[in-house]
Amino acid sequence: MLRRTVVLVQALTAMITAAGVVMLLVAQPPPPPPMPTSAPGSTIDLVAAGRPIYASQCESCHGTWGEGVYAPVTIDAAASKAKFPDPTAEAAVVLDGRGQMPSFRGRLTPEQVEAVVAYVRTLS
Amino acid sequence: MAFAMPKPRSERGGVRLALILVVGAVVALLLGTYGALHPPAVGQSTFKMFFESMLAFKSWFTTLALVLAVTQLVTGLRIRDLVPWPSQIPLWLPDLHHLLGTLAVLASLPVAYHCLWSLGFTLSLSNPRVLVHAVAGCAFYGAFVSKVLAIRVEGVRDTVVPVLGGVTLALLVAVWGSSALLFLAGRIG
Repeated sequence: MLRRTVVLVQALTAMITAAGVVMLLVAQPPPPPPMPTSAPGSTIDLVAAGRPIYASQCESCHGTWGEGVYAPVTIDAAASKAKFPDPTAEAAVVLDGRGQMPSFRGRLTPEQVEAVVAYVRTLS
Repeated sequence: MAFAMPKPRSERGGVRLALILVVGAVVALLLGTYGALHPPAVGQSTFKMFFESMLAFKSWFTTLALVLAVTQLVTGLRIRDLVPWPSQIPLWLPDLHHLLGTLAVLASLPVAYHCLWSLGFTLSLSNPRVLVHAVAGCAFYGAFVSKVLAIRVEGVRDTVVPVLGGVTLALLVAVWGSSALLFLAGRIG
């Protein structure tokens, strides 16, 4: 009886492993939301554009409001601005990654990075 | 008339052992390579069942895998007569031993899937915890594959399987200690 259970569980494990390998190879992560296009003469609202990008790319680690799901990765707008007076320096961190944070180069366009940085700098 | 001398038993065992270890190393390398090349689906959970967060799901499933693996170690020690209890080895103990190991790996699979698909593999020396976790995670499956192969190969089974089992468990402890333990202790999360 137990031997039959072992065989069944082993077969199940083998099938789940095979399915997992196939899914790893096939399932692609959803692309980040597209940037809104600007009408001639209008200004793109970077903060509004950055919010959905933040939600899809950053929120799982940094939390909905920057409170940080992982303890060390809280975001505070005042601290960010003090640390990175120039937003392009903060954008470089997003593009190149740092420490635990992965690089988003190739996953986000420079415009999307600019937008998400603008959004992050409103969090507190 | 010349005869081809059959290879000594120990030499054949050595070749088989080398092949088994190479296969395990290839599995570990493939996992690491996938994790490094696959664009991480950062921010994307896979499935977390009834847990409040992905981290809680992964931490508790890794803990479950570790408990099952440690229990398997205890049954393995009894099968090899290295612990005295129970006084008579039940006939079903080897089957239970196999079942515990299989369930441990089964519990680890959804965790590994999220790690590989959503987070990826980072060889970053700036964060030793992540580095240890990533390397141990890939090596765990490599060691497990080597162990499963060694079970089926005569000549290496008796000597190598306990060692590979110990290595597999040690790697699982490293994986757990560099993630789930910290979550359960409130250091991350």
